[in-house]
Amino acid sequence: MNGTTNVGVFRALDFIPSGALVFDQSFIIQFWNTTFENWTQENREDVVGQCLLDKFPHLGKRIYRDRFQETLEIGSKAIFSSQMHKYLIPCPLGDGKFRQQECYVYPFSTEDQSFAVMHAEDVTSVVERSSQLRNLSKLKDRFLAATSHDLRSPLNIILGFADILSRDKNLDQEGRDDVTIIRHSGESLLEMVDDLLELSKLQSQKKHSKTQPKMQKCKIAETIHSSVQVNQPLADKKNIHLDLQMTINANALVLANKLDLTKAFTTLISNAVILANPNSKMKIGVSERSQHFFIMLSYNGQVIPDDRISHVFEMYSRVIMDSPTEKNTGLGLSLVKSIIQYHGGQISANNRSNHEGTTFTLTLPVLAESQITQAKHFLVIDPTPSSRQNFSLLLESTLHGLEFCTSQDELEKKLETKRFDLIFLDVDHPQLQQIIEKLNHSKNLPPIVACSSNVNDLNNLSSQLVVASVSALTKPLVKEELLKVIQTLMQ
Amino acid sequence: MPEIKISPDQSDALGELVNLGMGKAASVISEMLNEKVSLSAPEIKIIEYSQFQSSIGEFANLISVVQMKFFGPFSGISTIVFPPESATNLVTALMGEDVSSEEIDCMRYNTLNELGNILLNSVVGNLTNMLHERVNFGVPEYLEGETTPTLKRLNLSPTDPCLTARTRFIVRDLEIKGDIILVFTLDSMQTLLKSLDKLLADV
Repeated sequence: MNGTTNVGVFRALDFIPSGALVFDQSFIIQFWNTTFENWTQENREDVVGQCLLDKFPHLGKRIYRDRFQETLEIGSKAIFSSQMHKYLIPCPLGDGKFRQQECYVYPFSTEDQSFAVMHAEDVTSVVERSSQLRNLSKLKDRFLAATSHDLRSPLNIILGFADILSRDKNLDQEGRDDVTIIRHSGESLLEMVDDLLELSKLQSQKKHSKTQPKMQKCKIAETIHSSVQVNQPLADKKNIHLDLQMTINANALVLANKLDLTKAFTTLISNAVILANPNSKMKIGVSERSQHFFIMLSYNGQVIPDDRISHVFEMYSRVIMDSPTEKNTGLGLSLVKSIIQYHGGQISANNRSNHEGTTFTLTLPVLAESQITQAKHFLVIDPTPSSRQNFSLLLESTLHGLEFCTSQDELEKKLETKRFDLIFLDVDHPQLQQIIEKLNHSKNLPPIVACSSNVNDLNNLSSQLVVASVSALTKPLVKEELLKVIQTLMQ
Repeated sequence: MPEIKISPDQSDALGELVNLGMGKAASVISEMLNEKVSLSAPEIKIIEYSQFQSSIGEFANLISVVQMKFFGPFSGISTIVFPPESATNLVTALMGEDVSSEEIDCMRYNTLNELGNILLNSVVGNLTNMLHERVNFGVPEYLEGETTPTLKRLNLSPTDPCLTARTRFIVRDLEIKGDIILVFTLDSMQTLLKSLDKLLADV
């Protein structure tokens, strides 16, 4: 056993309900507190004096050793979360499980020596409880989805028969009124069930990335226009003028699930119509800036209390009160927010400065393809598989004519069979000189984008290529920069 | 803020020191992930805090922030800001793609706090170490939420001088962007620049 020092200084660590140990600059354990004794059934006398990295070999990995070293040398404090490490010091619980620990390592110095103190908090019960809660939440989601689905069929039957009844000529006025109530209540219930189903569908998509909804290119102007039209009869009933002003290109695109996006716009507008004063004007402005569409909807009418406006998109928040004629399910705006968020957008609500109504502001990313002219055939010359995969990932959703080649022979064949609109060339390619020669000899050479992790390589290349336009991109590639270069060259 | 001028040499040296620190952190993260982590050279700027706030942009409505204070010859706050998609990508890279987004939400706090701790310790530690200074490190704190109120919680004055290092790294084809910001007191910023000059003169 190696010599120990200063044990007395650390005695206070015996009084804390967490595991604590102290090690010195040679990783020799200088103190082992009573909590660790209880948790591990290992006595202080047996542990103190041993090297931490020998006693617990997994701590010899760089992810631990380097960070301990950093604490000892520069005095930094290190956190080791239970989620990433489960535990640093194995403390068996008896059933094959170990105490999960949230660990902190911090520096401690005496006059002549530097130490590191490891402090381990037992979070086993918290982790287990949170796992139980997650399972309960999953169960609740499944129950909600199944119940909503099962309610739909009997509801449709009730509505169908109510419709038949309402056309029965033998029914007196009182009976007819009663049937109308049945129909209206049934329709409200059906609307609520539909919203619940939609929300649980979105929740399930959020949880399982593999079941993402099908996205396609949508003309945003068209989608908003049709949502306004759908709401026109509702607005007409209250004599509300829907004033739609669009300053965007009619063909501007978003990548969207058209059905869901239409549902979001329609729900948002119908909610606003419910809240707006009769005989008022509702403004819907659509503009584009900084690669985003901005949709602003403002109305004069019911004001959401300032202290509750931040809760307006929560499920059943009931921030928006029912009007005498329209019931609010408490799900609509929550649904709108979920849809907008999975489209990569944001939505917010603010009361207008005159406190006579509210403005909803919504952003959605512009589909970059709509800014790129009709370039369809792109060639990537790159020998590295991960790099080619990166191109696919970055451009997959925007371009379909993306082809790859890895060698000069393959390049020759590609250039013979197809005319490309743009070529991406990896400057670190081992056959770079032969490839440059091949490119310089081919007819109708398109613009070339040189890609490298070294900026100097990119500058050298442009002098070697006989092509009107050479651009450069540094790796790792970033989608925005990539699309910007494409856009510039295509114009 | 009285104008703090940074010479091209000082900027290069700072970039290199921050880069070295990040490189160290990247190698630890790389071992944690068991994957190669490619790192871009950080873009160094000295700006006022208010300029930094606007540079986060109006579209980063939500941000994840890890902040850690440090005290000594250089006093200030080191902060790393992740846009939401980068934060999710980072947690996904660490936890694997089979983890549901609900579970990722639960893991964000601890995971990002630890990753921020690794990055900030390395960057600040390397910077002070190379300049032969020693600082006391605070405990990292994780904040998450809408950009404006979250940045307000950092309790910084609009004119505080900030050394910003914008970087990005790619893990398993997932692009992760992050802004590392070191906010110094005015005196500390001047001490830092003097120490840098000393380092440059010794080279």
